[in-house]
Formats: sequence, structure tokens, C-alpha cells
Amino acid sequence: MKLELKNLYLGFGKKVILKKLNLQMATGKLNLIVGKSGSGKTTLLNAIAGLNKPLEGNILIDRVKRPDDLKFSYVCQNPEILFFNKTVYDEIAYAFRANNVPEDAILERVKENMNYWWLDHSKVAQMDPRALSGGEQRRVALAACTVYQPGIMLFDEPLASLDSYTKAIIVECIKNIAKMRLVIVVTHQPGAFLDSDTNVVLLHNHEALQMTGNDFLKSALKNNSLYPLPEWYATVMEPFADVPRELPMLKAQEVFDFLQAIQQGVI
Amino acid sequence: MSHQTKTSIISGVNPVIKTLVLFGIAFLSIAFSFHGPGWAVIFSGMFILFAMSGVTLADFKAIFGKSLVFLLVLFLIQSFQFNPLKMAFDKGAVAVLQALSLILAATSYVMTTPNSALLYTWSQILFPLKLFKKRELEGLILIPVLAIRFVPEVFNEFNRIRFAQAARGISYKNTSILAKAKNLVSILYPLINRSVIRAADVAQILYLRGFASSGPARTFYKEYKIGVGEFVYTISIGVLFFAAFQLDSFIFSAG
Repeated sequence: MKLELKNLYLGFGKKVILKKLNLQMATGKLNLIVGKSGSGKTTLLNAIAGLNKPLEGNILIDRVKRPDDLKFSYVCQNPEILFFNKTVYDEIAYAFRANNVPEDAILERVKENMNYWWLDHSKVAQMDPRALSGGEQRRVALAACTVYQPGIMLFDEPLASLDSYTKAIIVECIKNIAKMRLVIVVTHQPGAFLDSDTNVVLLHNHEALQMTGNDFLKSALKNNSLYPLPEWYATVMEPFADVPRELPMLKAQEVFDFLQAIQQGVI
Repeated sequence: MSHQTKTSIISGVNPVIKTLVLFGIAFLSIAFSFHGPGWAVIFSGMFILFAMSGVTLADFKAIFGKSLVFLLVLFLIQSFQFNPLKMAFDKGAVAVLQALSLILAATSYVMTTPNSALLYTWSQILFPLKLFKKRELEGLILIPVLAIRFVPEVFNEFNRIRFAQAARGISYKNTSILAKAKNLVSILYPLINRSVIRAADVAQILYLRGFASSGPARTFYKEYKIGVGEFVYTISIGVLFFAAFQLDSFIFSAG
């Protein structure tokens, strides 16, 4: 599946927030939308979801104008607010029941999806979702929002307010989904998702720059105003911003290995 | 429309005076049956008030657009009561103009008065209740303030939750009325849940800022006084209605 934004202008009334967006996103690679607060990340995601009408330009899905009844999952910020059922099972199964899917099929799909998001069906299925820990609530919400498994999945800040253990689980799950579906993630924590070939859309000064994960790191190292990388990474890696090879991702072990390789003269 | 306070000349006017003037406009608009010339004067004044409040033409269009159905219904209800046609039209038109002047005045008020000022206003206006029980007073003051603060937010939240639930596969279209009603729970439950939590948060924040029945009294960052500006503001509105009334009387008595 391929999503294309052609000469897209987004905003409210006369206020233009993003202009001249010409971007491509596809299944197979994780698509990250990053930028400073107020740069228009959620506005762009909402436009793709169909919540905001573009001021100008087109959104194409597989070269056809985005249909109004496009099937997609949209995980909003703090998706736990959407809970309204008594048990975790009912919460995840609700959309199936509302669409008259047979109960046997629902059980299988719910179990499968709970396992995928590292939720123990036998332990939490009959619990009140609001009584779970923050990390478990987030995973239940993600399971409930993605259980339909449409071709496009949109995530708005899926890692906000989580501990590092839960973050790692969620990142892994989302990356795996991206292998088979068109996944777009808006995040303030690109380091958690970033791989050298990740498709990064960096929003800056009302425009969008599309690049690979590696190019994103190099650009941000050269120009801190584009995107502020973590201080430890920027301090250590700044001298290598121009090296003609891939930089380590935002992980301590990778940076350590990179520096060791330089010391040993491998690079 | 979300409650975003505009910075303008009117923003600086004592909110208590603004509230009293708003009630004055409501009373005068309803109590006196102005004719064409009178309404022309009132609306000219209202548009000047609008401009001084920092409200743009786009804001006005949005407000007018949102009120259009209400005004139309009001027109029909009012005109159906009267006969012949000319009288029915006149009565309907007057009702619409009265409502519109109130909408404009209320918009100018809400857009130039921050929540802290609203809190201050109601605590001053309901001051006599302090003689009775303070806890009841806090409740009474909080009701209008929280309503003004929360109503637009609840509407925004409603749309956000509806959209997010629809993206989960819950359909609100092309289903039976029973299914629609059932699916509405998926919006209302999170909406009420979230509103109650937010209201509790705001109440706790107000308590921590001294808005409590015991302990030190609530402090306001800005000290509101009654000065020249307040007199000019009040007298201008008074003059506006006086001019409208005089012009109306002059033209119609001369005719």
C-alpha cells in the first residue's frame, strides 16, 4: 500500500500550518512524523485520517484519491480514555460484536491480538481495563484500536507517559505491524523507533523534509534547530556528522560499538 | 468555538462592569421594542464593540453561521403567532435582532474575559451569599465558571472520541437506531468519565490556589478597579441605547 501527499496545504481557516507537502509513505518501512511541538504533526496525521480537510492538494492511496470510507486504525493520544466496557475482553471485542462477527471468531481474534500486545489473556481478559497499570492500559487500548487490522494504522504519540519496559514492547509490536501494513507514527521520541532505513518526515518551518533515519540523524547533528537530539548523543556524535557512512542509532550500545570501531581503526 | 481570550481594549475593562453591562444590554434589548433606525444604531454600536474586542470578520462569520439555524427557528416561532403577514414578519425580525444583539454582546464578553476574571466576577456578584454559607457560595460560583470553561471543551472532546471510536471499527452510520443508541455509549461513557476527571482536576487546582472554604482566601493575579475606562465603557453602551431610543421615537413620532 502506498500513500502519497501531493502539493498538500494544511491549516485552519486562513492560517496555513503546513505547506507544499509532497511525501510518499509505503508498507514495509515504519513511517515516522517528527518535529517540535506545534510543528503540525497531529494536524498532518488527522488530515491523513480524514479528520481535517486539506486547504489544498491531494491525498492519494495507491494512486487513487483517498476514499471517504477509507478503513484505518487511529490510535489517538492517551487512547485509554476510550475505555467504556466492564472487562478487557469486552473492550477489545466490542467492534467485532457491533459488526455482528460470530462469537467463536471473536474469541480467537481477541486472544491473538492480546498475545500480540503482550497481554496474558488468562490473567487480564476478565479484569476492568481501568484497574490495570498504566502500561497494561496502554497495551489494552492499542489492542482494542488495532484489532480490526486494516491496511493503514496511525499512531499519535503511542509512547507518551510510559516506562521504558512498556515502551520497548510497544515499539517492537509497532515495528512488526509496519512490515505488513502502512504504519505512520507521530512521536516526540524518534530514538525509540529509529532504524537507519526508517522513513522520517521531519516537520520544520511549515514544511516537510523526507529522509531516511540515518539522514535524519546527520541533519539534526549538523543543525540543532531542525530537531534537538538527546544531548548525550549530540555531544558524542557531532564530530561524525559528515562521515560518509551510517551513523549508529540513538542507542548507547550502538554508539559505543561505533566509537570502539573508530578507535580500532575499523572505520 | 473554544474559549480563547482575545487581547484588546475591552479585555482591560473590569469584568464585573462588563458582566453588569451585558445584563443591561440583555434587559434593554428585550424591554424596548426598537424599530429599524433604533436597531441600526444598536448594531453599529455592537460592531464597534466587536472590533474593540479584537473579534475578526472571520470570527463573526463563524458565530453567525453557527447561530443561523437557531435564528431561523426563532423567526418562525415568533412569526407564527401573529397575523397578518406584515406583522408576523416584523415580530419575527425583531425577535431575531434581539437574539443577535445578545449573541454579539455575549461573544464580545466571553472572548475578552479570561476564566480567572469570570471567577472573580461571580465571586463579586454573588458576594451577598457570603453572609450565609461559604461552601454553598463556592459551589454557586463554580457552576457558571465551569460551564463556560467546559462546554466548548466537551464538544471538542465528543468529536475526538467519536472519531477515535469509529476508527476502532464502531459504526455510527448505516446502522439501526437501536444499534446507534447502543454505540452511542462508546462515546458518552468515555466523555462523561473524562469530563468528571477533568472537573475534579480543575476543582483540586482551584483548591490548591486558595479557592477553599478554610485557609487563606483565593488570590487573584490582577487587581480589578473601577476607573475611567469602566465609566467610558458603561456610559458608551448607555448612550448607544439612548440614541437608538431617541432616533426611533423621533422618526416614528414625526412620521
